[in-house]
Amino acid sequence: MGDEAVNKNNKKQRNILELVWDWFASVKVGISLIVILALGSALGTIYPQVNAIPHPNPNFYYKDTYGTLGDLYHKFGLSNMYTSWWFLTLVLLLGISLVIVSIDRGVPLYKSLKNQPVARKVIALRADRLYTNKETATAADLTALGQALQKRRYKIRTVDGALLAEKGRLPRFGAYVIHAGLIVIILGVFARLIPGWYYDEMVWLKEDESKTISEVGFTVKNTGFQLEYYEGGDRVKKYETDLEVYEGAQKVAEKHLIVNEPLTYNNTLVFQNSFDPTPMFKNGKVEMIDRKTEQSLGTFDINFIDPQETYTVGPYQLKLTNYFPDIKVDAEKGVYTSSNEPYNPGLSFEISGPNLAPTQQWMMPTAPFVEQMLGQEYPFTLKMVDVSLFNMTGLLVHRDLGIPVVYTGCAITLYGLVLVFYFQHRRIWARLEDGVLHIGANTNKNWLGFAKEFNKAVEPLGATAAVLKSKLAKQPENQPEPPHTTESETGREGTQA
Amino acid sequence: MNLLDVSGFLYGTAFFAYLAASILYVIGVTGRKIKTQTPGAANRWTNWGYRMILAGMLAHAGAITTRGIYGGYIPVSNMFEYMSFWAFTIILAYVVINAFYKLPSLGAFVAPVGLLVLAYASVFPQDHKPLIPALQSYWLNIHVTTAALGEGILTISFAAGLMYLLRTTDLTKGSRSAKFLEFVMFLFLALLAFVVTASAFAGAGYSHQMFADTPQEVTYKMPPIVGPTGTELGSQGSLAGIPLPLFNAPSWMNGNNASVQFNTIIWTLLSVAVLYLVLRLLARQPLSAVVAKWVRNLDPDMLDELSYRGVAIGYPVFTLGALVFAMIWAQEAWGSYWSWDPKETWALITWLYYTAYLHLRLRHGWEGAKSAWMAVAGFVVIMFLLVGVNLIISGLHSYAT
Repeated sequence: MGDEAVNKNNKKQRNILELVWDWFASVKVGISLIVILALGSALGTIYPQVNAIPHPNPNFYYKDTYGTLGDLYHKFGLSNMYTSWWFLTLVLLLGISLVIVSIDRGVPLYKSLKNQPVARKVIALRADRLYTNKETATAADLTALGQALQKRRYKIRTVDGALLAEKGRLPRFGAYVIHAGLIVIILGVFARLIPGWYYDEMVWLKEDESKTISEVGFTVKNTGFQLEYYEGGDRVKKYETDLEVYEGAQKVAEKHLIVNEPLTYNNTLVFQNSFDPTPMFKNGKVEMIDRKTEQSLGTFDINFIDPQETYTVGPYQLKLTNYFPDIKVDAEKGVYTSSNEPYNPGLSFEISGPNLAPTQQWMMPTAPFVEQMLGQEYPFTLKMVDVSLFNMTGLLVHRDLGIPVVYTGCAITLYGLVLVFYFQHRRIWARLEDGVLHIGANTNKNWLGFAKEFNKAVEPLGATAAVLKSKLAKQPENQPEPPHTTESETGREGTQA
Repeated sequence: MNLLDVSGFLYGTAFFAYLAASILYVIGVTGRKIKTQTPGAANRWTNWGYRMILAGMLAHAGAITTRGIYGGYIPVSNMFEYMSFWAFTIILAYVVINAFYKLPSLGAFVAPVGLLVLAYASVFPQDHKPLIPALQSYWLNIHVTTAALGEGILTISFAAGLMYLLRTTDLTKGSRSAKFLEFVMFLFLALLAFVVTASAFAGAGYSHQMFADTPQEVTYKMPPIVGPTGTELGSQGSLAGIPLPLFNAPSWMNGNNASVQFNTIIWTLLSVAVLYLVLRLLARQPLSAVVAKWVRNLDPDMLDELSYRGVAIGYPVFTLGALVFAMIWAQEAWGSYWSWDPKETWALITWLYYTAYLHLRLRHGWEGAKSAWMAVAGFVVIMFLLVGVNLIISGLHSYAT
């Protein structure tokens, strides 16, 4: 009681920095942060995030698709949650906690293991979960034990009449290795804030179209796109782009780009990300037919991306008077084009020729019924006899110089996990006192495996095999760790005499 | 008979082998006359149960292999393939762990879980579809199998945690723990009831289409007790004199298939209510008390340790498969190692959950009951990651449905 009061008094006098340090170093705070982060992450999965919705205007999308709840979700900023200030703050707090916890626990553990004494009191050795002894022993037995353990890759330290054999000290720090790995991952993620380290853009390209992206210093050009479906279905088999990369006018790289195999140039990756499922018109061959005689008058070719102004068919001249690449006909708005891409071309020609007053005539390849509605008395039929369509390729240009950092962090984390869960810290102490060799041992996990190794090492000396005492049989006053942390490590090393 | 038929036959064989194993195990741990000297030791019944498990596992491996050869990749690309693979990893993890722990009663819990997961897999469409471009990568094999293995090992932790709770909780008093344990039994039965109901209607070839408010047609695989919002009540025929639909989904439930899912839940609740009441009347005591008899005399410390071991082994494997490999593949396929896609977010949540478990256990003294409850609830988290996300939330991983 008295000690506690003193502690409390001391706490009052600690400065703010120490209080903050203790707060972050607390196990409860760390676990709370983990739990809050998990709950927060779950919140963002209720409805899709803004970057995943198939609609340009989130203000309408959430209300229309998910009703009032969806609208509230969007208005409370949950639709863009993972980049919100509070979520990033949580990640940051967790990062700080990881750093502080690791220093707060790791450094004292390191020091205590570095300074651990070789000789322990016999009473402490007797209390170990693994203990045996050999009566009428000599210094030769101690040496023999040291050699036997050395063969089992133990590091041996000796002082007069005592020995400490140790292996696997690093696994004791496994948890801090994991923490370090996670810190590296967080740093790698936030590295994108460094100017020039991160760039991300979707680029949509038609065939032979190119686009210069100054932020990454090169131009991408689509020289051909192929789309293939599995037989008898609408299931996509593959989509691939022949991609060329230019710096200025010079071609510096090219690749037949397929999904899962990006091109790398200048620390930037170009991905085959997607494609525009709606095809566009590229070229078409149009046959002009006299409606009265139903005779073909000839054909002409149209380039829908960059159409000519006039066309000649037999004696007739067709002048393109109006071109709507993506035509829409609406009762209120009239005729208009909803984009500059030739998804649904509508062309209006002025046709002139012998014995014909110049007449206006529409051509809409995807909507011939509209054409007919508009022009019952057209003198000609403009019939598309051959057409080539194409799809736009969707490329993702992505530069993230933090990726190697993140991967390094992952590797460190995995290494730490292996250390924590698959390796142990094993120590064996021996002490020669009054002609008796006392041998005690401790590990942080896998006591059964350790007991086998222990007995294999001590039996040749003539010592009896040790029997593993149950956890509860440990004597409390010499207990190195509280009972619940037998699998873990604490910063304190209390077993030394 | 092509490889796909062979595979289907082998899946069936595995199913019946697990069924036999479950029955043998349960008899082995329940039977009074065949009790052996040492509590919890193997007997003739559990030995045969173990052999059936091994036989089922071999058939299951054969089923996966033949389907894999047929398609040219390890079959883990849709819900049927994935769930049945998970069932395989559960059994595999059990067989490996049993080699160390020699605990037949664990089989009495794991075999039914593996069986149920495999049965649940069969509710999903089993037709084989070729891969879409995003999945055409060797990472599909690496990422999904490793993640499934991690989840399989974590399932063992759940089973052992449940056994610990059944062993240590006093079920005669109506404590909160006892009620929760009974609820766990109820949930298990609910999954069973769903599988049975869905299979029964599928077996009878039931399918009912109707137009909802949404532009799409909705297809009911169970008679529509609940209709889509705005459907005229009783307009869809009747079932045993009850007009269908009896009521409509409330308007705030406006996902694409919300009414169908709601209807499935109603059917599941109805069938589990019947199933539970029948079993409860037969047993004349809480079902958890019946199951608790399977674990009497077992050493609780050993069960606690085993449950922890499941996490200790499963957590690193899960980290590797479900997060690290996932990130590397996402970087290659989608151009970003992390997109906050619901599936990967839930993988992270699952990881955070077990991270909390480990810290609470190793750093905060949560051994025994608290730790076991976390292991049991962890199974629910995994179920949501694997099933809930796909059924309720879609996203980049939606090809898995």
